[in-house]
Amino acid sequence: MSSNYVMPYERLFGNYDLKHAGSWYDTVGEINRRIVLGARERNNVLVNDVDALASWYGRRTWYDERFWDLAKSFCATEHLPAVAQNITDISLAARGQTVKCIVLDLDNTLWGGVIGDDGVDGIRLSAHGDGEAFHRFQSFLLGLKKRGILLCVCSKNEHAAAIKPFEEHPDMVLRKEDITIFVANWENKAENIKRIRESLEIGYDSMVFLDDNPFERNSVRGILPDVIVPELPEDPADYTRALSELNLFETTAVSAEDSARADLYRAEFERRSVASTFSNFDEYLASLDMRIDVERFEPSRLGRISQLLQRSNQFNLTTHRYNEGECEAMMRDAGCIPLYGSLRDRFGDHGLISVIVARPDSFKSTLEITDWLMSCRVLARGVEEYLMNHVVQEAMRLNLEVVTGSYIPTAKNAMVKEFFARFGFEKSEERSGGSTRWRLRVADYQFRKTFIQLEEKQSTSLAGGH
Amino acid sequence: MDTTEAMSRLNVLFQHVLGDDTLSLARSTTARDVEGWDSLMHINLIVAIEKEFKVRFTTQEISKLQNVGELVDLIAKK
Repeated sequence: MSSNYVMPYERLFGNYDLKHAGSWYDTVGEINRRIVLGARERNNVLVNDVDALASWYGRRTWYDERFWDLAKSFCATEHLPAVAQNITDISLAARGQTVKCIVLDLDNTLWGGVIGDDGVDGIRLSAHGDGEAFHRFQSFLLGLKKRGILLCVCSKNEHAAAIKPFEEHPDMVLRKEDITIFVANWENKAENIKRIRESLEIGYDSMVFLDDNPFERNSVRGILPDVIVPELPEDPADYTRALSELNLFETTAVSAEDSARADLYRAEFERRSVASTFSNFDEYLASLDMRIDVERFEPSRLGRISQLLQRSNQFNLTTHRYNEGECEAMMRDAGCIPLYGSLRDRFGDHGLISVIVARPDSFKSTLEITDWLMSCRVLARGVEEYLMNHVVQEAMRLNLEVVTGSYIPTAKNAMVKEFFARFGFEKSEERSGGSTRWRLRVADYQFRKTFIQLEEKQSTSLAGGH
Repeated sequence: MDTTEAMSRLNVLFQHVLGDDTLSLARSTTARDVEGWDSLMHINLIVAIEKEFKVRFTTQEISKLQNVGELVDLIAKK
């Protein structure tokens, strides 16, 4: 391994140093150039680009001349870890420890916004302006793909919605052909990454997972500790810089096959889909220490409740867009059970994430679920299960024998088409247009196991007026 | 800062940097008396002292130091 030299800060001719052949500045540049040329001729020589580190941190702080004078320390001690890291990166790459595949989230990672809710025209992605951060990040990823790193997608989305920007959005840099394996479903991501790994036959330690959502990052870290999961900065404008700084893509050789690799793989996997099973996801959920708060609508929350009602498209069974006034009317209606749920876990507070409206009918002895919606951010954590247990308990408390509900299809809510079936409801009716009615005998309900606890506080009865 | 205070803070700092909780400095202590205090450790110690006491030494000051007592006096003076 040969290190190059840090360009000197002593410019004896000022800017003219560059132009003046034989100046100190010019000479060091020339030596560095020869080091590179020499290394190119020798396969077994790798270059430790110290000058790149020095310019990244700033030559102004790179040196501490006192320690050079006293101990020949070639940079300030605070920068030694960066040099050590650089040497380690090169050594690991020389031993074959390289990144081969990047697994990408979509919403707020490759574009701004949620494709399932915002649609192709609503997501933030553009060659200039507000969406440029994502454009730049995609360009960086495309560069990596062209040099032989496989790009895969792992997104919690409907497949049809997730693929659409790749096919239709004019400012997408990455196209469908650039993605080796495209997985969009509602499974937990670690499981999907396992499938991707099996298909590609590579090691977990050669995979990088990029996701803006800390929950997903921690979940994958916990279940697949060998997968490299970098933190992503909060501002997408910083994604490319953060990833570059980590120097994850060190390599010791480039071959012609590299650039063709992604296309070869893709041809092979084009029609493979990634199926689903669980492993130790339960353990991860248990470790989250999730606390839920389920309450009847209250005045201070009506704004957020109505906002969620307006915005939720995907996990929304009937998609009634009640405004704030209508929410308030339900809150005051003794014959109505309007509930909201808010969730927090050890990573933070997710806020108000679910709304359920149910109406008891003591004549028919039924509890009718008229509305059920949830933010997709908290999908696959047992929130739905917890809330269904809660609703059934509510029916029991009111001595009602049957719980009923409806599903009304929209362009975006296919993911909850079989929601009631999941909980043992039987389909009682199917109308033209795809609407379905569902029915469950309370006595037949199997309470679901969850890893969520009720928020500890003095809680009053949730149902009003009975 | 008086030399007593400088000495006690320095002792804690040396314990931390050298990883030895039992280390006890005296004014007459020199690098030879302390295990692990080699030339590289010397730089680490100087950098740590500069951070801890928010001071900066010149090359000459660093190279002239003969023992811990002189170091303490130098810190107290700054």
